[in-house]
Amino acid sequence: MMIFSFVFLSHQSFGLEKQLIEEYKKIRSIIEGNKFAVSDNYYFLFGSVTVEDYEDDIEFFAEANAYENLDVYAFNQICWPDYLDTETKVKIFYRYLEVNPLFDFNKNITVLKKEKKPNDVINIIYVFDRENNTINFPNNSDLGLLDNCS
Amino acid sequence: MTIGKNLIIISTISFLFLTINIAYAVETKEEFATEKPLIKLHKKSGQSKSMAEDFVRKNKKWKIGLNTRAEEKGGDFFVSIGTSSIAFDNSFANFGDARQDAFDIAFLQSKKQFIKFMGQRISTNIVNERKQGSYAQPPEPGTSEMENLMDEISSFEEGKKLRTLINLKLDQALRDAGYEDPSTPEAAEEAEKIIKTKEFSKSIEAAAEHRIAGFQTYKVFEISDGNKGDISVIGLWSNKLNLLADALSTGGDIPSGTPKKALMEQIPTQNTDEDILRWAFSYGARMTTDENGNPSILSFGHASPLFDDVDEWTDACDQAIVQAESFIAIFANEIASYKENLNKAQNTKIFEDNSNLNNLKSETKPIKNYYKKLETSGYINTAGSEYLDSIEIQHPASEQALECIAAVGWNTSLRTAGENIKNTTKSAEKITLDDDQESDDINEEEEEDEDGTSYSGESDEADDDF
Repeated sequence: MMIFSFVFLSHQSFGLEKQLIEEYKKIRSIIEGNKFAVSDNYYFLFGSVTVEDYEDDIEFFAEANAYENLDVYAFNQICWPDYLDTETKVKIFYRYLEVNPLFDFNKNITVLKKEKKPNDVINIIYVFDRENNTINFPNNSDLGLLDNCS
Repeated sequence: MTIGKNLIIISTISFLFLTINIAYAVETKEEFATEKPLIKLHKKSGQSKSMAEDFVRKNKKWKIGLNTRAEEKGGDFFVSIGTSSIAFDNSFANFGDARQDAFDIAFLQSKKQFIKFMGQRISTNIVNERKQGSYAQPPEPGTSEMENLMDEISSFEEGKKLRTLINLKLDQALRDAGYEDPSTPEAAEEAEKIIKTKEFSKSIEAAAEHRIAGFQTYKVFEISDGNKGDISVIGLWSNKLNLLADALSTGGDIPSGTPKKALMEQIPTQNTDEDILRWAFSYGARMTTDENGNPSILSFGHASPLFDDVDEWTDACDQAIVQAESFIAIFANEIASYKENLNKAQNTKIFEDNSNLNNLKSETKPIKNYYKKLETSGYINTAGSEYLDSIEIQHPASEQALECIAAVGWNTSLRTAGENIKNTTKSAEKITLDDDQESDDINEEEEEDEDGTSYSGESDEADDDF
């Protein structure tokens, strides 16, 4: 019925880095809601994809969604004046991003966690280290707007 | 004197010859010695197949392929084996996925092997039937006899229906080859040739694939040296399993006389080491019956937590449940899709157009695509599956190889009432095997490896009531 044997010889260290684990623990409760989180050494991005079938490259589409979510996060960080309608805000925002992309560098993106939900949605959390990547969130002065929030 | 001289010369030459020859032989041996690694047997990796084959041949005394068995004991059955390596990328966060993917590939391989065996059997049966003259008077196309046959076909037993449709195709092929009367001995001889052609074999295999309903995992073997591993699946198909699949897809029959255990009692406990190990090697979905005799599906899902932490374990177990539920839908829909094609079939084209498995690449992505299509195909509504239990284990591969394994059950009584109910009481009679039940062998072997933990294990056997 059951054959089983094993010997422990060495303690392998294939797992996640301890630092990443600790920093992920700190942002775990907010990443799904905010779709983005930053810790001391990492950026965490959150992307979702609804799976019609697996022919498409899920991770690619989820990554694209994660960047969209990052844009939304960056957009919401700006203290937009009330007199601007949403369309104008979006125009201003994306015109700025055309010249000043959020990422200075964008490399070594890693899938940290993939979760399939019962409703055919797959959520993927991506992680970037801050050593090799920098995200420049625009502020009000970058956009030439007064900041009435602070 | 001359004779003495000659003797000395002959002796010297003989001695020199022997010495050179020995030296050559030694050298040759050394040459072979350097070749040795080419034929070196792997000590551990890739051994799960041998374990599975030994189990089939030695423990069960079965053959790989068709096994004949008396009708009253359940009839003939097929055994096949599929193997896949575990594509382990040194990230224990995906360890559960890697093992599951390996199982999926190995299971597909065993299904493909079954299709070949079943195809061979169909071909043999057709050739024999024709030689014996049991297909001597085929109806002419377009006649009322043919119409009557087509009406009658729907009531045929699945195997007979399939053979009849192939025979009709064969008749047409014979006519195309100039044999107007397909019942002559010459035509029977030509039929044997046609059946062996590549094109016709494909057609037969497409038809054979449509008999796969009921094929399921009997036992799983897994072995690893800590870095590389492989999984072998013993798959099994019998007429009874096929009929049980029929009952499962067409309605919730209540076969009397075979009350079984509650699904909860059919999964391993968490009380003994042995049962915990059974969890570790339980994969995919399989048919069974519940305590009321309802055709049921038991399914196991595997998922690894990102790291050892309560929240991550919770997420991993949720994932394992979602996976187990999806396997129920896949398993049930695969059965139902083939059954539906068989019911609809008026010729063999439907089999050729709808054969999937034989052409499916034994790779993770195509298998996942195929599963996805099945899961959403909606042949059967498997809503209402019942979560049974889950277990959190540390796999022997490494301290970091953590897995949550969840068991989910579904039975036909959970379907919406009012669907077509089919009685398979007869087929559900208790079946006993010729050979005695083998004792539960426990072969313990401890292997040391330079890289890490080595392990080997095998799943529990599925029920022998097949």
